[in-house]
Amino acid sequence: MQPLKIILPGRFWDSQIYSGRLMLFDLEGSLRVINWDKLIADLDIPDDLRLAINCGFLRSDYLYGIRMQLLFEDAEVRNLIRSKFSRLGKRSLFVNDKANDRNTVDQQDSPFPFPHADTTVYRNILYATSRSGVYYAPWGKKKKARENAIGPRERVWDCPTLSLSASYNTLALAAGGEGLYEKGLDSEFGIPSENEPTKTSPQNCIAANWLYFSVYGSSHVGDGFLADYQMVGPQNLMQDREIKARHLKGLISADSIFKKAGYSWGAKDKIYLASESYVSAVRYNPYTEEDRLIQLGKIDLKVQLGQVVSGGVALFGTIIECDKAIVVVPSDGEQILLPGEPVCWRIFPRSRFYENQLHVIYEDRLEILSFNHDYFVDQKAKLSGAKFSEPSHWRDRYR
Amino acid sequence: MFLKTYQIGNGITYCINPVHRNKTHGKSQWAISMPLEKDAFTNAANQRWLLGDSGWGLYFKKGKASYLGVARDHQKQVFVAKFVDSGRQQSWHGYPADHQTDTKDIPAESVLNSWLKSGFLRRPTIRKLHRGQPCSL
Repeated sequence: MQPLKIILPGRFWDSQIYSGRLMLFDLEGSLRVINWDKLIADLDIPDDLRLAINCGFLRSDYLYGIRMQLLFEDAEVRNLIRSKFSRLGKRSLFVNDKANDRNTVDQQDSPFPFPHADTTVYRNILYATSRSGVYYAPWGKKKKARENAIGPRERVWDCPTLSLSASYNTLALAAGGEGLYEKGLDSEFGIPSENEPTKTSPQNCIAANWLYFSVYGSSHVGDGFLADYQMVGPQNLMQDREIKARHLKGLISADSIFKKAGYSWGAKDKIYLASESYVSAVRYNPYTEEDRLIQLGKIDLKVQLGQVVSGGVALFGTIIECDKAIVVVPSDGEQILLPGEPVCWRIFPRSRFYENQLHVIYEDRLEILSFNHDYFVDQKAKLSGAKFSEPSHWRDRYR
Repeated sequence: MFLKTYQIGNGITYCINPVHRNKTHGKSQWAISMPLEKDAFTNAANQRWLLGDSGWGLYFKKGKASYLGVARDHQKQVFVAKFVDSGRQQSWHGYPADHQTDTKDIPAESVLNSWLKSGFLRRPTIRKLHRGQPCSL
């Protein structure tokens, strides 16, 4: 099943999508906030394809999990939904400047030094890393006059930082040769605490991604490594809830995980290592003492990768950026080559509604791809891509 | 002891450091001549790519940014020059910078922005420089 694609022309540096808003950083250092829900509603699509476009771009969670199990056991229903995605995939979805302007809800200078290296959004706060450190800017929803305004910024740390990722009220900070650091966030307000970041590993780290409550550090200079955590507790009781804390068990090198060298990356339950013509896959389960890391085998690639630049793990598959292209290894179906060197690309593995999206910025446009094959894939048997985990309240409600 | 010292003007001197030219183990090495190294510094000064006691520069061949040396491993080609004024006395020296091994070799945002706006480097190259990712010209 080919991915859906929306094209937004323009000269962009970075994009984020969060809570119904698309954020576009342009090359002039400005930040435009677009009402994404409205922009999708504005697209000229026949009514019988509305389900596909809504699931594809607004509600990636909708067709997953136990809620849809009864429906998806029916082959006719499965085929009908597949055909809707296929039909929509054949249409070119193009957002022109007028539609962009009509749905723009705020435009301002980027609150961060420009150009920034990386961004993420967590608990209504936008974070950025840069040569001059780590910054955050709250999304000013409380100001009714400009409910989508972002900022002003505050600097959290002055160490040059290459990329970041947030979860468990913690920022994981990849600081290159300085190592992997963590910065705690205030559990009530979500803003960074005043404590200095703590060093998790002194090893070179250019990207940090969350595998449950553990963190995987990627490196081109040295080995990648897993900062393997466990949850211990209860540490204390607050509002009758047991609060467990993350405790670092140890650092596990990619070399000891894969028994070979290469660039590696991970997220959620999977870790991958790229070789010239294949990718090795390992499943990670921090909820058990034995067999936390299980070798799953290798995925042969249909293209020679050459120099691997970066990697990512989404529900829909594994993404490998090489010198002049992006390769998507979907959880099911043919590998997809996206030719051309991107200015930036991004997936949203911790989001609720946009987990199926891949944003790729080229010199003159942003392409937003939506992958929708994974609803039909056995999540426990996947080699490529992270396993979908249902929120616990779904299981209680629908089982 | 420097190999050569150039007077740039306005009280600024630029010194050629021998360890970046004599194959010293663990030191990046220039692949361009000493006058071209000095020209890269002068251009950086004119373009305002020197900030406090650090600066960054590029080497242009036929108007295009080109490789100027090799990294500490003496293998990997690099194209960014880092300049330092250690004593803060306007006495500068420089070396081929490797953005992958030392984050301080990554140019400051204002320098990256200047390179972005002028088109001296392609946008994907600037993103890769800023994120410590491998990149080529």
